[in-house]
Amino acid sequence: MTITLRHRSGPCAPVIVRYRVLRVNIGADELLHVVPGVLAVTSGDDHALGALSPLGREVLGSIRLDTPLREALPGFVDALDTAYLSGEASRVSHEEGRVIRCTPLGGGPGRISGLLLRVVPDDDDRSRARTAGFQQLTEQLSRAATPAEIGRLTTTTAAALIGADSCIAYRRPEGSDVMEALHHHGWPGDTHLLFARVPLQRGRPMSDAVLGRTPVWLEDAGQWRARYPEMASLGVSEGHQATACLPLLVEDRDLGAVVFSFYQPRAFDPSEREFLMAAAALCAQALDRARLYTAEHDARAAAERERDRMAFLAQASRLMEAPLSVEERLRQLGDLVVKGVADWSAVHLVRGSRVDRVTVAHLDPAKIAFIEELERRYPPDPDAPGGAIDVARSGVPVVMEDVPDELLVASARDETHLELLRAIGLRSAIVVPLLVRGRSLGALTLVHAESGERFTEADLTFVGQLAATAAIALDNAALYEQQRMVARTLQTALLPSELPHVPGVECAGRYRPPDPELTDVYVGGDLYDVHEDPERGRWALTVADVCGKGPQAAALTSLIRHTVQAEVRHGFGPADVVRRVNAAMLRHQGGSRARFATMVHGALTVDPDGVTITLVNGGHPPGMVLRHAPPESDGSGDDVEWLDVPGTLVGVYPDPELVEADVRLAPGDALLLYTDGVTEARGPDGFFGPERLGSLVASFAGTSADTVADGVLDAVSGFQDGRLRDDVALLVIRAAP
Amino acid sequence: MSEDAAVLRVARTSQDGRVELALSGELDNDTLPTAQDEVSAAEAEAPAVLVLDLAALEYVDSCGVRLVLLAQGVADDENRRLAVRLGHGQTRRMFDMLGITDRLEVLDREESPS
Repeated sequence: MTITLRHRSGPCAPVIVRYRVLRVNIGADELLHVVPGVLAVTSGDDHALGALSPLGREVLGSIRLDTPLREALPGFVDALDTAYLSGEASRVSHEEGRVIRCTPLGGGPGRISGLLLRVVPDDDDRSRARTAGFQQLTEQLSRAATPAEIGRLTTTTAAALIGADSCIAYRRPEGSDVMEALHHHGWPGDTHLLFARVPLQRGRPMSDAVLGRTPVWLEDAGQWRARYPEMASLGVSEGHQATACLPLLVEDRDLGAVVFSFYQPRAFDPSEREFLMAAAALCAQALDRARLYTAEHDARAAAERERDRMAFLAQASRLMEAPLSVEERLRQLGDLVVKGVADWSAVHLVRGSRVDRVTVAHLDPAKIAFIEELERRYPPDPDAPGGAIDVARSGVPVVMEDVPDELLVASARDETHLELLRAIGLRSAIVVPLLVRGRSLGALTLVHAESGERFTEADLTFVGQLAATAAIALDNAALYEQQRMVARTLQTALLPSELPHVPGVECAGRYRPPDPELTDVYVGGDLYDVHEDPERGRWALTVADVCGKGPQAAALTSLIRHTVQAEVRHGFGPADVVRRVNAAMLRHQGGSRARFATMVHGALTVDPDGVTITLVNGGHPPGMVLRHAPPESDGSGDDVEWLDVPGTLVGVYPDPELVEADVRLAPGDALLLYTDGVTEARGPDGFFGPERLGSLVASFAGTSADTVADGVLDAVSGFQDGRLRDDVALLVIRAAP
Repeated sequence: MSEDAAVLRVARTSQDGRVELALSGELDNDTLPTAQDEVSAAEAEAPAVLVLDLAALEYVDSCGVRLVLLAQGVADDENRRLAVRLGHGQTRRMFDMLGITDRLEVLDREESPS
């Protein structure tokens, strides 16, 4: 930006004005005291010295009164004569580059009585001074970044340069019709308060300047009265005469206005106007730059804040997915919040009819202890409006840009409480509900205290997003808990909580879902069961595996278990029980072959010499018997027998082939029944397979049913590095040794 | 445990009203949907005979049985034929154990459906 100043040379208008006034009203001697720069007054055509001012004595030397200057100052004679004879002012150069102006006094041409000699400021000097002042103002303004600073420079440096006695600079907020004072200077007392905020209104000098986008010049009180009769008394009330109101414009932008006031009348001739307008233009340019700077600064700050907040939200989201308990997650979220977003944070959760605070966080543990103690001594009022409990219940967020002391006073139970509340130093707070699917699970509270920062309505979006992240995590945790409960309930329907005591027999059942972490939520398709058939003095045992997993598989598993129990009570033998299970499954599935099951079922009777089990196998992996003492006939010492009982899987064909086979267990012999999760187990060494199972079971000869069951389960699990591919059910029946 | 995701490949041939799907790789819960899509696509052509060749599978569990039983159900309902090739390895042993080999039209390796 460059400002070009053009200064037109010409007569110094204010002097003429004063001369005209003085000519009428004031005697020659008095001129010495009222007109600046006056040297002397002469009279007559020989220019006799009538009066000499102290400045005159300094500049012209000591000259006696009545001495004709024609003699005393021969170098002045031409100029003196010219002025005296022509009635027009003349000039003469004197020592030290001074220019002395000779102005005729009297009633007009031909009636000149004398001359006024006065030192006139050299136009070039003034121009140079103004140019230097301008450069200084430009430099200072270029360093000013804020509107307030620009206002200050305008009302001080620019006003001094212009020679104004008082000045107010205004800015016009974008789109506003009220001018706001940026800075004032030279107004006595509190008068500036009258002009702090000025609504724009036609018919007032500054408003006319702003709305008309052109300066308003009032050269003296007379012009005030003539042009603004209603405003004149105010305009000149502080003794001001002249006023210049200049709009601060850059292109089509109205940035404000500046009002310069002068105690003396001032003729705003074209060069003077140009000078003032140039000064105003400088200020306007600076304001515009500040506006751009502020806008850019704000935009960058907003972008940075947005970026930080996104990063923060991402961090919070990761935290909410961490494998932690709900309380621990919320505690860590609270800690995260006080590291970047607020001085304090708290989370409240709705628990039935109560709302509990589950976390409170601050960087300083001592402050947390303080709050804990405070809340212990003064439990929070659950009905206090706008508090976390209220927000948690209502689901309506609250933003307190300021926490006024009156609020603390109103909340305090007694003086001590009030003191403690004040000690926290709450400045600003925001409380948002933890909303999910239209339900409020609690509230997240953020507080600014010692940082002195403030929350505004604009923060609601961000804090709301943060709360939503927490709410979803909470909701998921609740759903997970629900699922766990359903699974637990279902599982108890599928598996016996414990196996009955069968006299003379050890029973051990085991079930393991594929993933140990899923123990609580997995509902598989495997089952084992042992139950009594008291009417026939028998015991029924079952191991089954419904293909697939999930609720449909679980429903079939449950169907199998309960059908078996019912049909055994009805007195059916094992093959008929399985046929009835087959029929029940077909009915249940309405003819679709979506699911099938394999099962092994048997009726166990105990006698003094051991146990007999009548087994039926519906497509199930073959069971095996671990003999306590290998039969004498088998010289190889192989003590594991596979039970090859053929039969058709259940749930698909209406006419399964099923045969009953008796298995005899001598004391110490054990029967192992299992689902295919055992033999189909795959590890780095391939399939677990029947051979491996056989030799494993053989190694448990002479051990209890529980030892065999645990040993097989551990081996299968270990074979797959602890993570099963399929679920596994085992049942070990051992005749007491 | 790092284990490559199970891969199932299905090769399809059709000739004289017969569509044959030869499965290789692994057929388990993860790959069952792929196999079912292929079977459904073949069924949509309503071939007189659909042959499922499971003999070359490296791994098959009860999902393979489910695939066959479902296809058999569809064939029965629509009066078409389903035949399977089980080979003589693990797949065959599993079908035997389940007691369903006799209930299926089982073809030998090069045998064509009559």
